Amino acid sequence: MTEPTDLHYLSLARLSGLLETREVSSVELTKALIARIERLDDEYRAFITPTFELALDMARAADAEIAAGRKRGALHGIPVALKDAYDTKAIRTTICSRVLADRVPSEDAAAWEKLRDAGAVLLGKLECTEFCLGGPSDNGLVPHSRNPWNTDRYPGGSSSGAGVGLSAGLFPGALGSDTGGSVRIPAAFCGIVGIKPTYGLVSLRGLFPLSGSLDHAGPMARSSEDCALMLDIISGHDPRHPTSVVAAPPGATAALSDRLDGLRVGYVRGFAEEEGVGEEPRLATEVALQVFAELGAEVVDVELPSLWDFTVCNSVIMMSEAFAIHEEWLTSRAGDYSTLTKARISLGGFISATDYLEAQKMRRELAQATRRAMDEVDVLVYPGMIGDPPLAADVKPFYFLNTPLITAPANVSGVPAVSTRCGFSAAGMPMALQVTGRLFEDATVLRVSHAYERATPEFDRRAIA
Amino acid sequence: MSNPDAAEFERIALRVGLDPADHDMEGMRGAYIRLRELMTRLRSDDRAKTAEPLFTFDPVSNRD
Repeated sequence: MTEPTDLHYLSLARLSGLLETREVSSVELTKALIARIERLDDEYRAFITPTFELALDMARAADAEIAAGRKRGALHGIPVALKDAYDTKAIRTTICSRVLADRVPSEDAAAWEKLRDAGAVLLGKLECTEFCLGGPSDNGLVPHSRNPWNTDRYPGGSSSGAGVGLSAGLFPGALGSDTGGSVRIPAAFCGIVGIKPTYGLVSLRGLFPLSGSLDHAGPMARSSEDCALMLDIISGHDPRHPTSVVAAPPGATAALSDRLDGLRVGYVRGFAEEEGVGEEPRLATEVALQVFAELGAEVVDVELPSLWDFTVCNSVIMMSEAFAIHEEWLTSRAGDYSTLTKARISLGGFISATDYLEAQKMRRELAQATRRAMDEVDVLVYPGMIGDPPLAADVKPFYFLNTPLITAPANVSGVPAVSTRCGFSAAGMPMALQVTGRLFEDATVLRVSHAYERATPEFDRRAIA
Repeated sequence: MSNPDAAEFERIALRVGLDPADHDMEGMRGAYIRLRELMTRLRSDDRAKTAEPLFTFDPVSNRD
């Protein structure tokens, strides 16, 4: 029998099995996690709005259905948490902003609707950077969450609470969102796993937009298998949102395998060697390439346009679209924005319509170049981050103008991209690699990252007990 | 103001409604100048002036 105190770092897949066999109940699991959150979250600050009473109600309902032989699937009875950018009916949803501090949606976001219908249990809403753009501000609505690997270091954003809570063992799965890397950066900095799915695969309805043409809703967990379980549930066409595509769920869980025989892996050496990308992430990625080869994949070098081209294209589109959303509030509610967020969003007002359209034209060219590169390979691999997470106190408003954003290429081209852990730096911080694939081949991407994780269990270290 | 970038910054800041009481104007000006440098990457002599800006993930319309 598994003791409730042992549950916090178990995988979602394993927990689902324990619920299935009724070795553990959803109420026991939920209570164990609530106790852990109450013990640790003052230090790590992953949650902005806990929903513990609701969670226990949902857990009791799940237990009753499972006991009656009506288990709905892998997520039934599993506690999860949501970035506070996802609308939750009758539950405050602020996007961690003072502007929307009292906002209570009347409907659930589409992705949460699907998890809820699958029987997931909502532990609460998670801290994120203000409006999914700001950084660790001293004058935001709530204090920023803290990286369990080193609380002085930035946990990455904007889905920071999700990365922190998963790393601290507060829940086994979460939903984040990703416009330039906001799922994958906290995944990398916190040593967990996150996937930005193909654009349009997961509905954006009810996810507060940062930049609609670049936004993606995606799962975060501690393994690719757990991300696959969640992605299979939250995917699918939503006729109520214009960016949702008519595509079947990816079947990611069924495609998982421990081997990669017959797959061609393209190493984007140019990204890894771009100025500003550190030697440690490059070397860690190159060591990972040897693992891919041992698993049966053929590894070849692949060329893409400059990482800076993707970075600038992403930043110009994101800042322009964000400014269009916030322009009126920036004047009427200026005092309600944190200094950092206000500066970043305001810079979007300096981008002309011509520059925005040139960025969208460039985006097509970059996406075409990405597609051509993938004619020859099944996936692309490159570092998940350019170095160790900076000290939270050192994050400047416009850092992104001076360092390449290695997560941006997948947002620009819309392809699926997973970030998974690949070792530890000399400073003891987690390192990460990215695997990206062809549009709508999310299952292949997760298959590759899963096989890699299975072959490298030595990197499954935890930040805290 | 002799620096054309600085003059342009002042003009746009006024239009955007940037209030010096709310912003580090020096920081914003520096960010704007850096952004201008970076945005030269967006232009391409190889791109037709009439190139379609609308981006879509429709596999047919995005074909080379």
